[in-house]
Order: sequence, then structure tokens, then C-alpha cells
Amino acid sequence: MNHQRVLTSRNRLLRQMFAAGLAAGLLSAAGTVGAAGDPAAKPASTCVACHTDVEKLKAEAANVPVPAGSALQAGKG
Amino acid sequence: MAPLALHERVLVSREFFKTDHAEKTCEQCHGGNPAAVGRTEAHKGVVKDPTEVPPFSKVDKIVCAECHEEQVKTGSTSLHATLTTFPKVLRARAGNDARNWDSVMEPGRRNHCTACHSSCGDCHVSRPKFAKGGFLQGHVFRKKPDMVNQCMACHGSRVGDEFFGNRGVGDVHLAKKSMDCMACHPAGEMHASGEGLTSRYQLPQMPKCAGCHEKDLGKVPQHKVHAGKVQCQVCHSQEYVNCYSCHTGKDANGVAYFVNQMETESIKIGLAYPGSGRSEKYILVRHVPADKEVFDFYGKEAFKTFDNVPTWKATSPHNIQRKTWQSASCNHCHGQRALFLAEGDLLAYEKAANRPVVVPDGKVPAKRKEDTAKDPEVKVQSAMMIAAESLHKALGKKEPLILVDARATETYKKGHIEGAVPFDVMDELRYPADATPRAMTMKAPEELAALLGGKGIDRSVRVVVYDAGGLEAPFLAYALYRLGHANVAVLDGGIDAWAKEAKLPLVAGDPKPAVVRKFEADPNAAIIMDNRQVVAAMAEPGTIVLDARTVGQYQGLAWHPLQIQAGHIENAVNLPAMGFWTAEGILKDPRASAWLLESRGVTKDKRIIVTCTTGQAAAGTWWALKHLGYPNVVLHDGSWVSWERSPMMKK
Repeated sequence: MNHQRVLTSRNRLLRQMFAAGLAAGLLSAAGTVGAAGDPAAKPASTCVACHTDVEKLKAEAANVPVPAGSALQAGKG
Repeated sequence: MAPLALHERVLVSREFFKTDHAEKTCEQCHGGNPAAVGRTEAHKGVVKDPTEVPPFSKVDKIVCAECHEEQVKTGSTSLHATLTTFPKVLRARAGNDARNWDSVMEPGRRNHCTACHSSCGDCHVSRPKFAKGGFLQGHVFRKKPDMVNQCMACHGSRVGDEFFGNRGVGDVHLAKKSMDCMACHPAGEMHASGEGLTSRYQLPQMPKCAGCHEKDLGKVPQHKVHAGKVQCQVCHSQEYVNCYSCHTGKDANGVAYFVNQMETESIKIGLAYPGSGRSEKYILVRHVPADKEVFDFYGKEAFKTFDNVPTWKATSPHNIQRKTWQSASCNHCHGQRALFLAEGDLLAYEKAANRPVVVPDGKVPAKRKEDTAKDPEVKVQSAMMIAAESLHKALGKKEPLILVDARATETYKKGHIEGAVPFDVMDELRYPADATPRAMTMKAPEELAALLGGKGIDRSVRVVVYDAGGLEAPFLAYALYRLGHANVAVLDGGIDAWAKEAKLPLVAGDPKPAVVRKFEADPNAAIIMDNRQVVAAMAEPGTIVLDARTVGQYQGLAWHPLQIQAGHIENAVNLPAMGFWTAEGILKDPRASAWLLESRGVTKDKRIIVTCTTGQAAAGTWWALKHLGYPNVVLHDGSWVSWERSPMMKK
């Protein structure tokens, strides 16, 4: 049953999250990293740095060639 | 649905990092090199959509499967993901010729047919690639797809138009119950495997009307007679689009396109045929856009056995209504040969495969003498519309007549009826959409009269207006009425009725210098109301505010670009203008239109205030109602755009 399948997947995810949260909580308590779920606690990444910054993306987008769509293209039913 | 700017498509919101999916790093799903400096280096090896299934995917395994194993197991072979029935039909039409398949069919299929397949992400995180993609909510995954931005991004031009009432009057499931696509097409169907199917209607998980309406079957006498023999939609759907000639190719820039060159709104009842997936005897069928020349760009005469597969196929229109014109009386269907697919409806190269679908004369149910229901008597104002042939004759006889082209001037220059004066309705008739309640209201009578006179239009002779089926012509015709010119007609079916149907000539080029005339305006204040007048009138008995927008707009799901808030005038009755007009600008059967109005309580003894978003659809409805002989119809000037900008108004 689909209903059960979703629950199974979700339970697995919850277990993983619980384990990750427990570890993060312990590390946080030890003063190692920020609290779990805090966006600021995300590891530094150029992906995140750029893809969350509207102005940076706008500047980059200005240099990306955009293929022109065909004026003949019609929608599907 | 307005396209997203490039930066908007890939902007990740902070909300995303609070969700479960952010447990993984970007590169774990998308690849690339986050340590690199610069866009080009960082994006090397990036997989834009790691949720696509092979062969569309560049990865071996769909990333979603790590947590959603069961859904991906069947979903990766679903109809949405694979379009599995397409190659089977193409092969059958191509004669199963392997060489032909590799050189012609496969490139055509890859460039065009597969453009519509969708991945997990196309339904759960971004707009589909077919609609140029872009995150829906800053990369936040959503369990339930968004009807407007996801489902209708692909299923927009037929299903979406029907459902929302961009054609016809919309679907009762949306209009009355605010049901979205997923209400009938839940995850169990969307994720179901399509392996082995030759038609999507064979999918066991397809929704069935009786799934919700089983209890209604015994209540209605007609259900007892027809249940199991006649598909529900035969009685409960409106006219819808039949497409006849899809052609594909690549344009001058090498961009693949497909364009449908002919479509008509009609309804056809056929017989269930082998492989249709339907168990009833009489089913609704539509002409699919297949054309034996569809892949001519890739190879001439590629479909050697085109007539192996029917082109008239089972369909399930998404414009369901509880009451329809054909179900209003037994004899609206019984004995109506034109509703049933006939041999004469078939094109020369599609006769063999469609033969089992055709309803022979002997199988068209006979008229029922017991049916004593009478249709409303309709006496139309015939002078308000003119057929292309009649206009041609009038012009040939040099009858005094001013012909006005209501389309955009640039369109006029590409081809217009000789002698026509251009009047760009979208640009010239109304005040611009500024921040005041004057936005989109019609120009003051003296201002408009001067504009019309300057183009050589006056009240001395009959004026005939045409457009391309976009309701610009009835809008201008209404404006002329409002200025006191009662001798105005709209070309039925617009320029297509003239050029494509009647095969009459067009000319191209700039307009000739106008012979300036004086338009003596005699404004008719009884057929227009501003916001304050509408509010006052609403308090009076016998007044109906008729909202001519689509069901989607009325419900605030689809937005006009000029809207600043969603909503509708309180207690307004929603009846989309396209219930009276086809998309080609043809007024529908007046008997059916009159019945439709009566069935919604919009009767001739009432004052009808027609409104929409900017006044155009309302003017189309105004024209249709006047044509049907409604005596007291008033246009809400500026409609919703003016209404919502007025501080005294509330939603």
C-alpha cells in the first residue's frame, strides 16, 4: 500500500534526522558547532553562498547566454 | 503563468535549509565542484535535475530513491516519467521499420514528444522543464504539486483551458468545490507504473467518476438508463478542442518547435474501440493532433502505416458540468447525427483505423417522442453579427460601410482585409493601468469620439469590426454603441473566418492615410457603470453582477498581469465569456447560450452588470447577451482593475 510505503520512508528519514539531530545537539552542547536547523550553521559552500544571494545571481545571470525560445512553439494539451 | 527570470529560477530560499531535504549538501545531489572559484568551474559536471529517470537522466540512479524508494520504484516507469505509450504508437504508424525509426522517428520523438516528460522534481520542487523550469518555492520540496505552476505548465493549452474556463465555462469540480488536479489524480495514480500500456486510459489507477458519485447513480432516472452504456462525459462535458495537424521542426535558430495548424471546438460521440480502455458503448472521442506529415521535417512520408492507429481517440474532457446543453433534453442528443462521429468527419488518410470509432446511422439513438421538453425561444439581434461571405458581398456591392480591424497595428500590417481601418483596442480604447481607479476604464466619450473620427470612423454608416477571436472586436463594437452608434456588427469568426474558412484575400502593409471625419458622440449612459454606480445597483433587487472572467481568475488562482490582488465582487455570478464565444471568435449556438444563462438564473427580467478584469471579457459577454435580446445589460467600466484600486471597495 502506498500509504504504508510513505510511512516507511518517512520513518527511516525521521530516524536519520533524529540521529543527526542528536549528534548535532551533542556537538552544540560541547560548543563545537551551531544549533541544528540554524541556516547560519550550514557549512560554507560556494553553491549556497551564490544561490541564496539575489544580487549575486542577478549579476551572474547577466553573463549567461539565454537560448531564444521558438516563436513557433505551442503548448501541449 | 509568467516565465521566471533566470536568477529567480535558481534562487534557493533560506526556508529550504530548515527542511529535511537540506540534510544533503548541494553536490551530493547535483554534483559540481563547490570548492571551485567561478561559475564555470563550480558548475562543471553539475546535473541540473538529478531526479530524472533514464534515458533522460545523466545519472544512473534517481537521487530521490535513497529515501522514497517505493515511490521511485513505480514512479520511474510512470506515464509522466517515461511517456511509454508514445514510441509504441509511433512505431505502429511508422510500419515498425527499424531504419526509419533510427533516422526519422527517434530524432523527432527526442526533439518534440519527449519534451513533455517530467521528473520527480518537475512535480515536487520546480516548474517543469517544458515551462523552462525554475524553483517554485526556493528549492523547498512540496509533497503536493501546484496546479497552476506545475500541472498546468504542461497541461495548459487544452486541459487547463477547459478546467479554468478559458474555453467554455470551466469545470464544476473547480467552480463549486475548488478541487485541484490532485483531488482526482492522487499520488497513487501519478506514481503508478505505466509499463506495458499502449494507452494511458488503460492505467488501472485512472480516476473513475463513480469513485465519488456512486451514490448519485441511483437517484437520477437518466443514470439508470445510461449507466454502463454511455461514458459520463458524453452528457456532462461541454464542447472542447479537437486538434488536427501538429507539425514539428526546428526554426531558423535551431530551436525545436511543434505547432498545431488546425483546431476546432466541438463534441463528438464515438464507439468504444479495441484498446480504448473504455467499457461503455458510447464514449467521447477527440481528434488527436497526429498528422501523417508530423515528422516531415525529419523525413518525408515517414509514417508509412499512419492509418494503423485511430486519430479519433477516447478522451475525458476537463470541463464537466452537472447540467449541459446536450443533457438538458433527450433530443439534444438523440437523433442529433452531428454529435456522433460520422464517416464524413474523417480525413482521407485516416479512414481505416477510425472505422470502429465511427457511429453508423443505425447506431445513432433515435429521437424520443416522449421528450416534450421545449427549448427556450431565442430571437437574436442578427444585425449585430455578420458572416464573412455576407461582408464580402456587401463590400463587393460597395455598400456604405466602415470596416475596422481591432487587432494590434503590427498584426494589421502583416495582413488585413482590404480597406479596413486599424484601431488597436488593447492600446487605444482605455486609460492606462496606473494606480488610480481610472485604470483601464474607457476613455471619456469626447476623447474617444475624437480618436475614432481621426481614423475616419463616424456614425453616418454601418461599422463592421473584426479581430482574431480575442474579444477585441465586440469590445470596440460595444464602445461604438456606448457613443450612440447602434449600427455596428462584429465579423463572426474574425479574420480566420474570412481568410481560412471563406478563403478570401488579405492585404499587407501600412494603413492608408485616414479621411478624417467628425464622430458626433451621443453617449448612452445606461449601458455603463463606474464602481460607485455598481455598488449602488447591487443593493437594488433584480440586479445580477455577472463576472465574465475564467473560473480560475474568479477564484483567485489565475492572475491577470494588471491585477494587484485576487478576488471577485461579492455575490457576483461567475459565467466565463468563453461560454458564449469559441476561441475563434464565433458566437455559439444561441439556443445553448440562452439555456446556459437561464440555468444560472441570469434572466431577461433582471438588470445584468457584466464585469471581468479589465472590461474586455465583460464587453464580449455584453455583446453576446444583447445579441440574445437581453434588454438591460450594463458594463462595469474598468472592472476588477479599477475596482481593486478604489479605496472604497472591498474584496
